[in-house]
Amino acid sequence: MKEDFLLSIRDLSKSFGKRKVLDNISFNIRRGKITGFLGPNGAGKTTTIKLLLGLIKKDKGQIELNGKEIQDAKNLKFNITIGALLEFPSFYSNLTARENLKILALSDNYQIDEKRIDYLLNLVDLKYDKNRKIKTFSFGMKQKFAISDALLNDPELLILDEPFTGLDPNSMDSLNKILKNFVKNNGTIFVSSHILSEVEDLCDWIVLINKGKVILKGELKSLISQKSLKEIYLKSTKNEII
Amino acid sequence: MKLSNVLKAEFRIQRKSSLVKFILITTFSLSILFGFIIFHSSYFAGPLSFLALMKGYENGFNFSISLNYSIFNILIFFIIIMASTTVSDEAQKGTLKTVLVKRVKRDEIIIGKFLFLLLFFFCLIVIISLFSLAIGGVLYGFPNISEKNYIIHSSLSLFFNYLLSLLLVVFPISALISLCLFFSVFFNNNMLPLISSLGVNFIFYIFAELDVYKYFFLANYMLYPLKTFKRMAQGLPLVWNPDVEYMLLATFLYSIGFLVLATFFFRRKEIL
Amino acid sequence: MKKFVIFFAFSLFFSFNLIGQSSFLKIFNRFEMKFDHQIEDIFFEDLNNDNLEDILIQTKASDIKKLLIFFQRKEGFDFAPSQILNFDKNAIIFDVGNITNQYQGREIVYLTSSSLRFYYLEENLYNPESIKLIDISSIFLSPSPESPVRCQFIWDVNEDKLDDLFVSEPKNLTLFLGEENGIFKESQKIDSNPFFTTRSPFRFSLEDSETAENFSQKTITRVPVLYVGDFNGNKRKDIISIFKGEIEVFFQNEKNKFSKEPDFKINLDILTEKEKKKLLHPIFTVDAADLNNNGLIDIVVSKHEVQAMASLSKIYIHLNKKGKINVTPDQILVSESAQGNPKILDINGDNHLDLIITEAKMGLFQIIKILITRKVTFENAIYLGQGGKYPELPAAKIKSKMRFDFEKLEESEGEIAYFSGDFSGDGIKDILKKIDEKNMLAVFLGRSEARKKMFSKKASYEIKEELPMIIIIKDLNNDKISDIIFNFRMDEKKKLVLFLSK
Repeated sequence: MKEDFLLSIRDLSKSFGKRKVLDNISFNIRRGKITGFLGPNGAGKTTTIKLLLGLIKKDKGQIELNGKEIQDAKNLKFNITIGALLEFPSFYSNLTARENLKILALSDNYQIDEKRIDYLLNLVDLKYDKNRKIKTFSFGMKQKFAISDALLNDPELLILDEPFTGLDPNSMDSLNKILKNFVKNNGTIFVSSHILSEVEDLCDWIVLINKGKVILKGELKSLISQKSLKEIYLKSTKNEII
Repeated sequence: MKLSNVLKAEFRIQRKSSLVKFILITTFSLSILFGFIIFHSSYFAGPLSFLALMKGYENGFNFSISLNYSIFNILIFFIIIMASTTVSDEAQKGTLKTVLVKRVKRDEIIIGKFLFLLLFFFCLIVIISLFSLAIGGVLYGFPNISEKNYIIHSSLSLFFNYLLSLLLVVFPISALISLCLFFSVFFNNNMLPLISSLGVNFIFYIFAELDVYKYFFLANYMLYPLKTFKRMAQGLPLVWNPDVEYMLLATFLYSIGFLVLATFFFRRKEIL
Repeated sequence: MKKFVIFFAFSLFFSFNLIGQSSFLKIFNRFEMKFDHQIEDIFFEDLNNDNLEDILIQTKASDIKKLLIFFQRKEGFDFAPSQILNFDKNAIIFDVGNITNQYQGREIVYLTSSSLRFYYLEENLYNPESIKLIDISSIFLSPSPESPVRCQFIWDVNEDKLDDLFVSEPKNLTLFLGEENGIFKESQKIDSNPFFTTRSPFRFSLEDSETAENFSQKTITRVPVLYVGDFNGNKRKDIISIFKGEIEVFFQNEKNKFSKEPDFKINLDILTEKEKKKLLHPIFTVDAADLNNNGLIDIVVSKHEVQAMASLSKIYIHLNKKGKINVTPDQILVSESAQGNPKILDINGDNHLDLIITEAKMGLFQIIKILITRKVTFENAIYLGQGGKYPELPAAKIKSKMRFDFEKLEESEGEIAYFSGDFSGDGIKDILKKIDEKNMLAVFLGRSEARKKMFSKKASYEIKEELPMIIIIKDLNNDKISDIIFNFRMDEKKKLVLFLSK
């Protein structure tokens, strides 16, 4: 049976000056699955995500959407609805949560849908804070708000960079449920994280990178059949290649 | 993507911005202060009368344009401050990447910001004009500019030329916004584009003093529309031609040129 | 071959550049006269009726008030004065005129506190002994220790080729009509304020050297000024007194008599009530000149407001309408940051008087520029008049610069343009530029063709010279070509330099 790849990344490279941040990385994001993206600090996770979101330009490599090559990663967002959560998300701090979502909806060419905004803020447990200014939010609240922003345009693909950072266990649990629910409704998720327990609980497939290179990729179930994810992670990031 | 959406978004962002609040409060307070000084210097003999801010003939148009012109000089600084930091501020705060992952095109962000700034400052000038015109009318009325029964300019022609000058002021403003936006795109902090814009404009102001080459510099046209009407309201001859043609051409080229450059570089900008 | 072509092209280019630019000495003869005293004042009069203007120089008064006279001969001037006349120490004001046919040439008439006396020409020199004409009491009571002042009180009002005398008394003006035998009978008294029509612009800093002689009379604001010219169109000269915007005209009837009361009187209300209340109220001058060449005297008022942030000049043109002038002006020309008063002269030779308004831009950046460069740029805007009507915009703007030495303001130098000379004799005024930095005089010829610029772009004639503060342009040898006189009054030099047209 042919595998159903939503996104295929081939030989993607990126350098900042002389420093090579991504070195010919290739992996696939499977439709309807949660792909975890693991790696130590500075491995190139955020760079990969920024490349996919068109914030920075690739040096070389291909990105294929449904088997079709997308020349410029900037155009990916016009071919598929993407919801994104960036590491350390920033919003208009002078404005309320609701106002921010309205602006982001407009930026995404959506008409402001007040009901959906209320629904999403309820979903991430910010029901009572929706009229508070973002600058009064704690980091965890901002992270939760960023999730509501990522879900705003009812995306097909969610790209999440460290979504669990700063969340309390309850919130982590509810985020876990939201994401699982999202996949249940035919959504696809590409999530980078440090928190291995969450990844283990959530992901179907994982891609592990270190120093700009993919060192491990595969279905989580088969990978953890012999060793725990933690063991695999620690070993691979030390020895680089198994 | 509809441009109106970008404009709406920009409007929602800016309406609560502290810089906008500062500009509005400063502009309106200064308008009241200048209005008072202009009125005082024209009505009462005293130290202020020596300033003769409303030189020439006293009427509502002269009051309005004297006030408007003084405020516009300050607005130029506000335009520079706001336009040169509009993109860099978002880059500094990180909201730029939040927006850029959405389905808005980068060109649209630049054009949206450009249009918003243009509309904002144009509306500000129009509001000050109407407001000061109403007060000027109450204080002095709108008689013809005449002396000893000799009509220098009729009030009707004053009115139409005021309207014209307000419409024409859009051109130098758009050129200035365009120029500052260009600097804003380059940097990820606010100081550098601000200093660059102020520096370039200051240099332009110096070069605009040159006899022949001044026609190439934006500073030569910044005050031109309002200044031309101000001269008329003072009883000086109304001279639109041929400088208005140079202004239209130069400011159009500045606006388009720097807008194209700004979008060109913004498309290639890496948001880290 | 290629080198040769380039060389040829270059030499052709440079030779074109040199064409038309030649030395002053091609068209002028240079004269330099030296004397023992500093110049106090300088006048030009045809003293001996030979159609050549002679030069009168008043020196700075020591014990003896001296008048140096240089008679012009066909060849020009001598290097030393033809005569040094010791002025009567009681002389207060003087003028020159032909008041009697008994003596050759013109007489130097002066007023003491009790009488009118004159020096007369005898064998081509003035007799140092003056003759008393009449005993008279005037407003002038005692002579000042300085040289007597040249004041115009002689006119030929009845046009009988004999000049008439106007003596200002406390409340009226006494007019003495000249007669063949030199006997002056008191002719008539006119109710007019005392007047003082100066002929010495430099001494009183009234105006620059470019008073539009023969055309207009500039008035100062403090003292009434008399002017003689046809006001009501009967071809006879009327007496026009101008004082602070009050104009009184005494018409001359067919019997050459004037009525005691003014026949026409108007107050132009130059200063508004508000302006009068101001601490520094606007400066104004009133000029009488025939702007539209219809033979009638028109009035030009220029008002200049001095303010901190703003200065605005207004020129009111009151055209004479069949012997009447209205308070409502026929035109108001408003100009920004104008300096001084307008010059009124016929630039383009169409017999209609044109206006030159000198403007200096004053804004924040200009002031910074002035402080840095110490240079001020003036623009002489030329408004070409047609039938007494002036266009709203000038036909040309000629730049001139001044460089300020803040410590020694009198040593400030620059580039000043003079407009009253016609150095080509074509009736069209040319520009004489005094360029202090290069110690150079340059003439830019005026053009008659409408399409071209008003003046030649390159100097037609140039000369390097040690330049004075003041230059006077006047046709001394009556050849319709202007001559140039260096007036070293301010420069404390005891000499005079002349450029007489060949």
